[in-house]
Amino acid sequence: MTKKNVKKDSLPNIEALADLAKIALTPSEMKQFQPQIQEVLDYFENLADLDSGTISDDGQSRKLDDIRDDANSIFESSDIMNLAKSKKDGFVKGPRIA
Amino acid sequence: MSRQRKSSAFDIASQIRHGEVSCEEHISEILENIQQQEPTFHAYIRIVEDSLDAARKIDQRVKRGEKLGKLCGLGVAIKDNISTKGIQTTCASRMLLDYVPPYDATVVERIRKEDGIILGKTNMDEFGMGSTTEFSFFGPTKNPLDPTLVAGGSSGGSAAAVSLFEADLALGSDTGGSVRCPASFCSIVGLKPTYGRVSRYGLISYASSLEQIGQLGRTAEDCALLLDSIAGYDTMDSTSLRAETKDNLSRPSNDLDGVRIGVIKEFMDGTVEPVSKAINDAIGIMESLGATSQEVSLPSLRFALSSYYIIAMSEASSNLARYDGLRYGHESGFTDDDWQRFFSKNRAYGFGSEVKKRLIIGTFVLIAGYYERFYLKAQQARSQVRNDFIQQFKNFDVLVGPTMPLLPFRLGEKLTDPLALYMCDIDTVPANLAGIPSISVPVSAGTPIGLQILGPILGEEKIISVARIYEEATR
Repeated sequence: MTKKNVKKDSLPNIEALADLAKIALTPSEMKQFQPQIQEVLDYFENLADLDSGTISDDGQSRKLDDIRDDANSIFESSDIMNLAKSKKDGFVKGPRIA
Repeated sequence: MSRQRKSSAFDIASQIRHGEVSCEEHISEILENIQQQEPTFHAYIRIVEDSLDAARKIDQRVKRGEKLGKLCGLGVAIKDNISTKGIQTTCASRMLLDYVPPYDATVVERIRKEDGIILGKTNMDEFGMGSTTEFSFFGPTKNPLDPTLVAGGSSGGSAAAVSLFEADLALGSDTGGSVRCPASFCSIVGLKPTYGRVSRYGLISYASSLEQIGQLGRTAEDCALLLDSIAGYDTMDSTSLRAETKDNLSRPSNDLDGVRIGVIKEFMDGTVEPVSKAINDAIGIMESLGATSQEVSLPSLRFALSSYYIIAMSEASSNLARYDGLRYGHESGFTDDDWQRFFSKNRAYGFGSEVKKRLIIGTFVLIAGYYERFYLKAQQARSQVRNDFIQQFKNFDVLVGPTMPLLPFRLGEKLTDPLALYMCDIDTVPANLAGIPSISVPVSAGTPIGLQILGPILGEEKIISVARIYEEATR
């Protein structure tokens, strides 16, 4: 329950990171989040002490069952289209891309 | 004392099946509890309207002598990140306020097939990201034992509903302890099955390689009843296991003769005194029932919390990319903004602060230059944790420790300190990293301290049996 293994390091520009994550942060959110995120990342640095020399897999080695054959699920198109907020001429409306 | 308060869900189902109790009367009693207690505790986000109709239909079928399913007339609460056809499913997020799934999750289909009655959707931390249920867009759930305390999370609504007799059983999801933590704090039983034991089809994804739908009940037998009703292979979930479904309801022996228990040193070391004392007392009771115990160390556990959060946040940054206002989620309306600005504005409005922080960290640990330092190391640590558990289960039938390293704390106490909140998960995340089953059972009735019992892959039968024997001895 103690906060240990803390090493100080600098977080890349939080505004650029938020931009990468596609979240428009306000200036007050940036000010609030920066030290909190930094503290969490500093804690993660304890993984530097991990001796990974003898580990042979990447944690994802569990064999999955056979992949099933493709199966079509039929939904009424109106059920799906009703979930879209903006529509025009029977199509979903999207933002400007160019 | 009402019938509901002295009978297990298993017994109530039996009474309804044999016509000894009317299902309508039983569900009415639950709805009355909901009406009286919800203003204080807020376990539910939404109550469905047709539960009494469903109850009357069960009564009619009983009268006709029809064969009814395992959950015969029981009221089941569903965490709000599990899809329910035609019923809003919000993940307690402003992002999904309007989302009505066009299909049922496999687990919901199976509950209906076994004649369970869906009562409503329960409160949770937004998208499952939290350990207190305070990060809900709808406001926090309060602890049934003391409403000034947190209920635990992220399935806090499901745990509180069961504890308050506002449901017979409930479904939660457990990504890093989200079933076991609130079960412990609300003094009920919570089970996280083996990864792949229960279909995740229709569970709205947070961290796909870690999460598993779990069961909450007032007894271990009730959790087993719900598990047996929904477990088993599902073609719609490629990670679903083809393993044989066992009957976890068969009567266990009366003692723990010959059961070898390993007490996890790393779990006990970081635990506050009242909790560690209660766990040591619980181990003493298990020994008096015939078990042998020995302290064991799993050195990799010192890396478990970092490994878990890096993997969970990384997977979240990918899984939650779909909430952009176009594919899913809140749409703020069209202006002259380009797509990047459009998506960013929708996500800024729809997500709460904890989700935003986790998505930003998840994005960071995956970018070039940091991947090897964080994500790759986290996956390597995960392998070590899993290997350590495999080694220990060669020597022990079950491993035990506290579910939570501390007692439930005051609402708001840790809200501004994310790392302190993450630390609360230190004893629950290892089971998710290893994919093994784990159950939390109260050390004694009405105490917000959970004894965590962990078993090997597909070892549900063993941990449920140990939990039931312990429960019966301490009742």
